[in-house]
Order: sequence, then C-alpha cells, then structure tokens
Amino acid sequence: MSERKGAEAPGSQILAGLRVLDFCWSGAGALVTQTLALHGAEVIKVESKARPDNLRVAPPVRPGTSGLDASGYFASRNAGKKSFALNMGHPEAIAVARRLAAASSVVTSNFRPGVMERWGLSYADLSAGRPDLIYLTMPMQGATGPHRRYAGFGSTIAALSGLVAPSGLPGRVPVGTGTHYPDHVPNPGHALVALLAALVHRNRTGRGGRIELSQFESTAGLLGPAVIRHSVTGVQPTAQGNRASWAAPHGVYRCQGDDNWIAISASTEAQWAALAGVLAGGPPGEAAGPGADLAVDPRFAGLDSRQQYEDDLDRLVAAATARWDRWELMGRLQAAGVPASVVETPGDVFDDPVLAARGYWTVLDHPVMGPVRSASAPHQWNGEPVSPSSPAPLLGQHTEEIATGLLGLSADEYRHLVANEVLW
Amino acid sequence: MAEASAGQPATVLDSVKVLDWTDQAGAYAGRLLADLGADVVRVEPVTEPEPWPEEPVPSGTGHQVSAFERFVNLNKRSLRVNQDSPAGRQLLGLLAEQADIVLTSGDAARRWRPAGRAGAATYVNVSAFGEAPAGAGLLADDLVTLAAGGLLSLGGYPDREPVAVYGSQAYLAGGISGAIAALLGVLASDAGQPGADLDVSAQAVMAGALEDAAAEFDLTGVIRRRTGDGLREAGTGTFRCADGWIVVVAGKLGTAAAWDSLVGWLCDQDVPGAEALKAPEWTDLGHRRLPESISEFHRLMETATSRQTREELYQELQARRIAAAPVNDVAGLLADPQLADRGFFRTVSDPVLDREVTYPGPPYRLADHRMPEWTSAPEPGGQTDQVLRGWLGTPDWQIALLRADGVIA
Repeated sequence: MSERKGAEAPGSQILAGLRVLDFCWSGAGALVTQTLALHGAEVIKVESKARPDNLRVAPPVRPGTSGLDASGYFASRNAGKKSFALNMGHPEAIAVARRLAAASSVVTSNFRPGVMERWGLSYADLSAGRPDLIYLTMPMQGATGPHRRYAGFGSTIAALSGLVAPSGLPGRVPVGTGTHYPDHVPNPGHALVALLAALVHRNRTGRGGRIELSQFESTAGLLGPAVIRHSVTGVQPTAQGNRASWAAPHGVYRCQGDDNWIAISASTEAQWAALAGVLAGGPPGEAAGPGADLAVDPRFAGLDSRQQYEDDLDRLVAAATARWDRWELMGRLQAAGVPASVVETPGDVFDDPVLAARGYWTVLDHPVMGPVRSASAPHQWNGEPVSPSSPAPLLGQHTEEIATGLLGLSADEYRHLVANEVLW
Repeated sequence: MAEASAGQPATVLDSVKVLDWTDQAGAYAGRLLADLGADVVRVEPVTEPEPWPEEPVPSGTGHQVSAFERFVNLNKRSLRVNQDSPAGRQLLGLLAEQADIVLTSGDAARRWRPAGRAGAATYVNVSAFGEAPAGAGLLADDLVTLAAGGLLSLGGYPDREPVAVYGSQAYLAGGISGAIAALLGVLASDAGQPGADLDVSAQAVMAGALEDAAAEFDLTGVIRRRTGDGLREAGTGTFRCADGWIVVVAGKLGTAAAWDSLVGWLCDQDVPGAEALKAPEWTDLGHRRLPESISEFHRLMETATSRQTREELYQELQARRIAAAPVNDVAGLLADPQLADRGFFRTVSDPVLDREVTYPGPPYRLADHRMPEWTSAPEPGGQTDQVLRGWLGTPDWQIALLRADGVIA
C-alpha cells in the first residue's frame, strides 16, 4: 500500500497520505481523528448498523430528519472521515479488519480493555513485522488496575478527577462545566499531542509504538496545580463561584435583555479605574445612574478593600451593567483596557465577529442534514483557517469504495459480504 | 530534558528545541512537549517578574510563588535575557534560529514580531482571541476566555449568573492546542516546508468544545442553557451522600440495563416507594423527563445515597455496572485506588519550594518509547549559561560580558 509523502501536500494538509484505521466511537476519540482528517489524513471509521456509534442516535437532529445519518452531534466530530460499515460481531469481519489495519499507519480505539484483544487486533497482533505502526487506545481508567472495567462518561470522569467539586457556588451542588468536558478538551487534546509526537518520531526513525491514554489520568492531570498546592500547604480548592484571589471585580454581570451576561476581570488598579470610568458614564445617550460613584467610593480603593466589600462591589457593578447592551459594553471596556467578554451562548458563537473573521465556521452540505455549520481547527495556518472539506460520512458511505479499492475485493466478494451482513 | 543518556533509546521528541516565551495562557504547551523529551527553554526577563497569582504557595524563603507556574514549567530550562535591549533581542533572534518551535503567548507575540522571523522554526502563538487582525489587542484572562468561547454559558445554576469551571481551564486548553499546532508544524518542516506561523485562539478551542449545544442551535435554533443542580432526567445527576456528592449517569447516555440495575439497587436498599420505579412507564425516557418523575426519583435516590459514603456508593454502583463516580476533592483524588495501583502520582524535588512536591503523572503512557526523567520547574535564569553554551556555542568570556552588560542574568 503506497502512501503519499506529506511534502507533496502543501500547507496545513500535512497528514495527506496518512491512513488511520479508526475504531473510536462516542465522544473523545472521535475528536482526535477528526483533527487528523482536518489536516489531510485519510481516516477510515469502522462502524456498523448492527451496533451504531451512540452519537449517531444522539440529538440534535434537524426537524423533519431522522435515522442514523441525521445526528448533529455525530456530524460535529466526524467531518472529513470515511465510513466503513463492518459488523465486528460477525466472525468474518475480523479478517477484513486485520487487512485494513495492515494497510494503515495508525490504529485508534477507545474501548474498554479487552475488546480489541478479543478481535485479534491488539498492538501485539498488528505490530508484528510493522515496527512503524502507531497504536492509540483511550480506555476510561487505563488498561490495568482494579477499576479498569469501570463504566463512565465525561461527567463522571470530571467528578472523579476533582474538577467538579470546586466548580460552583459555595453551599450548593457542585456543577463543573455543565458538559462532559473531559470528552471535549483534555482527553482528545492530550491524545493528539501524544499521537502527533509519535508521528514526528516515526517519520524520523521509522519506529512507532503504543500510546495508552487513561481518560481519568488525562483529566486528573489538569488538577496538577491544585495537587501541588495541596502537597505544599494542605489546602484544597473549594467552590468560590467566579471569584479570584487576584482580581476584583472578577465575575459575571447581567446586561440588558433576557439571560444576557458579561464577564469582567479587573486585576490592576488601572483596569479598575478604567472599568469604573466606563460604568460611571452610563450607556450611550443615557444619564449616569448606578455605578456613577464607584471610582470614588472608599470601599473600593485598592484590591484588598474591594475584596473585603466584594458583595457590595458585585451588586453595584451588576446594577450598572444591567443598563448596558452586552456587546456595546464589551467594546467600551476592551477599548478602555479592561478584559471583558460577552458570555456567549452556543448561538452567539456563530455570529461572533472575531471567530467569523478567522473563518472559524464553514458550511458543509450534508446529504441528509442539509447545510451544517462546522468548526475549523482552533489555529490558523499562515493566516488561513484549516477547515473541513467534507461533512461527516453517512454510515457505510465508503464501504464499497474501500472494499473494492484498498482491499481489492471483487464485486462478487463485496456483494457476498454485504449479503451476509459482514459489511453492514 | 535535552540530552539522551548514553545507551538509552531516544525520547519521542529527542533533539526538538523549543523556545518558550509564554505566560499563563500558553505555558502548558511547552510543558507537554518537555514531557515528551523536547528541550524547552523558557525566556524570562532580567528584572524580577511579578509572580503569577494562580494557586499561590509559599516558596522555601517565604515569598509567594504560583503552583500553576510550577506545574506548567516542569521539565523546562530557563534563560533570563533583557528583552528590551538591542543585544538581548539579537540574542533571542539567534536562539530562535536554533529552535524548531518558538512558542509565545501574552505580550511576547507583539514584542517579538518586529524582530522578524528567523530560521525554519514553527512559530506558535496562543492567545484568547487569536492574533489575526480581528482578535489582536483584545484583553482576556481565563474567565473572559471561557465567556468568549461559550463554555461559561453552560456552567452554573439557572437562577444565578453563569459560573466558570475551576482551575484555569482556558489557559490549559489553549496550551494543549498550542502543543498540537506546534507538532503539526514540526511535521510540516520535517517534510520540507518552510516554518509555519500558527495562531491559536483559545476562544476557538472553547467554541469547539460546547458538546452538542452548537449543533443544537445550528439545526434547531434552540439555545442550550445552564441546568446546574436541576436534573435533566430521572437516572442522571449529582446526589448528596453521607460525606459529599456522587454523580450517576443511568439516563439518556446510559443504557436500559443501567437504569434497570439502578432501580434494582434502590429496591435492595429498602427505600420506601422504590418498587414503583419498576412500573413500565419508567423505562420510557419521556416519562423520566417529566418534572414530577425527576423530583420523585431524586427523593428516592437521596434517601438511599445519604446513608453511605461516596466511596462506598462508587464501589457498590460500579459493581452493578452503573456509571457512577464520587465528586472527589483533591484528597479524594490522591486516595483513589486505581491511580495508586497504576503509580500515577510522583514526587519531584523542587528547589524553589524547597521540598518534595506531589505531581500527577503524564496524561498518557508510551510503552515503546523512553519518557524522560522529570526535573523540577526551573528557577528563573537557572540555565542561562548552559543554554547559551549548548544552543549557540557562546564562549564563557562572552557570557561573562553579556552578564556584565545586563543583557542576561
């Protein structure tokens, strides 16, 4: 199986020619291989109607659409991939999977320990005679240890890791991010760092190897600063809402409209003076009102004093911001040198002027879902966005192409495997 | 660290040189590269820098240092140079020419640009809004970045303002994305491309991490809001136990078997009324999402969970194949039996803190590659001479002269 050299593909498509056999399903793993696809890799996603990826049956769907190809959640993390329908529950599927693996440089999965091994697709099975193979697994709690078979999701990993307990308001139920955050940021992110580093090494030395990312360990790693602090002082973080020891105000304040908010952080006296100045003037065209005296209120002179009277401070700042349009206030504060941002909703991010100017969102035409706004990489490459060129695949969209092309099956063999629900 | 020990296999990023001129917003990128064997050199000013405020701890001599800083600078070296003097800037230019990766965040990107681009290095800048024209100059810290990227809107309680997640997550996420960009850039230069400029926006990282909420708005126009302590369905949520809280997922994301198993457990706890959950309507997710179903389930669940500790509940529910986890504090995390069995936590001797310090292990294990021994985060300027000799071959007399002239420290 020949693979093109990356050098032939300029710019951000640096992984062109790299074939990835992707057994990842659900959350974290799918984002790893989507980033590889964004940079030109050929990602072959192995999945099956017999046991669909749970994201294929997850909401949201566009009203009027349904079925295994309609999930917006699935589409948001599988753009640019190929889908190969293979029913791993069928005995004949194993040989097909092994042939695909032999033609691939990278094999990825995020099952519980033992699944790939049961199929004869362990690293030992696949790496014989293939020292350059890179093999990524992402078991929830790692491949070894007493809890290796424990069940979990992003939200349970976040709780276990210590991220949830200090996130919330004092005295109330801890809430974390409100999402399955480990699935979206640290676990795919860390896995990509290891995988790309292994690719650098393989390209230089010809040697691949195994990468094991325990999703628990990867998320617990982010608690490093708290672990160090606890180790030195015995103190552990507790829920403080949005407050911080180094800034006041440091919080989220209501603006005009329904459930509209702005985040403001003033860590220096200059930022505090600028904030007080903007709020004192009131919104454009309106008389000064609440907040007019913030700059001269003796309770708020100096960080220590502002923190001593932080309840009063937050109440007065909130009374002042409530009269403002959130975008207008963000613009005024930024212009005055105060870190501030609208608390953007999942709808606002599509209209955000900075993201739009970066070309962050691109519209892909999906055969079932219609036009779908899809995210680019978070980096620009030499001033250009790195955007997906094709939407998430339909289940099995590329089965025939791969079976009769890459695997070299005859049309009869292909039809036989489909009829027997192997390619299924 | 830099040099591979004789006779040992090379580390994954052996011989990769990184010049790291970052602040909190990007420093984790270099940490991740250093863990994999890259030689990461921090650029610090000759004047005494303000300590970072995150996670303050006392140093060995009693002044304040940041545990966040010790964490993100582990395994790096440090060089102090007068970044505002022409000679200092020339020195930085020479170092950048030797680097494979130049990492910047904070003021460094703007201060660096006038010096121009040197060598074949990949330049990676991490900032809240990106340095592309629309984002340049906008100010942010971790909280403001979380707001701009949308993640903040999903945290907190419906009756209060949105609440941010703990622990400088926007800084760490920006760092992870910085490392990813840097490695893609190295792959490109190894393939013969000229060094790339990669501009990472932490806002964009967060906007891509909104779970299904962005797609939900795109496809249905519905804006997902923070749900906080309100359960979305019977079967999933955070429940009070004897010594804190436990998270259970046996709802939408869980399986039918997990729900049945949870009901079985509740009945075995002799919770009065739990038998009613065996009625067929409770297997329907629609029914489990009715407010009265949620409230009844919550009552039954906390009757049972409040009798036991989070660790007891974790083991009992997992034994029944229910996705449950204790809401750990740091002490709970340190006591986790799985992490202990896998030897996850390590100690590092830290000269600044003047003691042995506990660290979480790396986020991944590479069984077929050598992982470097860990060394403490450096003292500012701790390796200035060593770096100048190693990277530039600067002779000792010249190093002495540069120091006497205040160019380095």
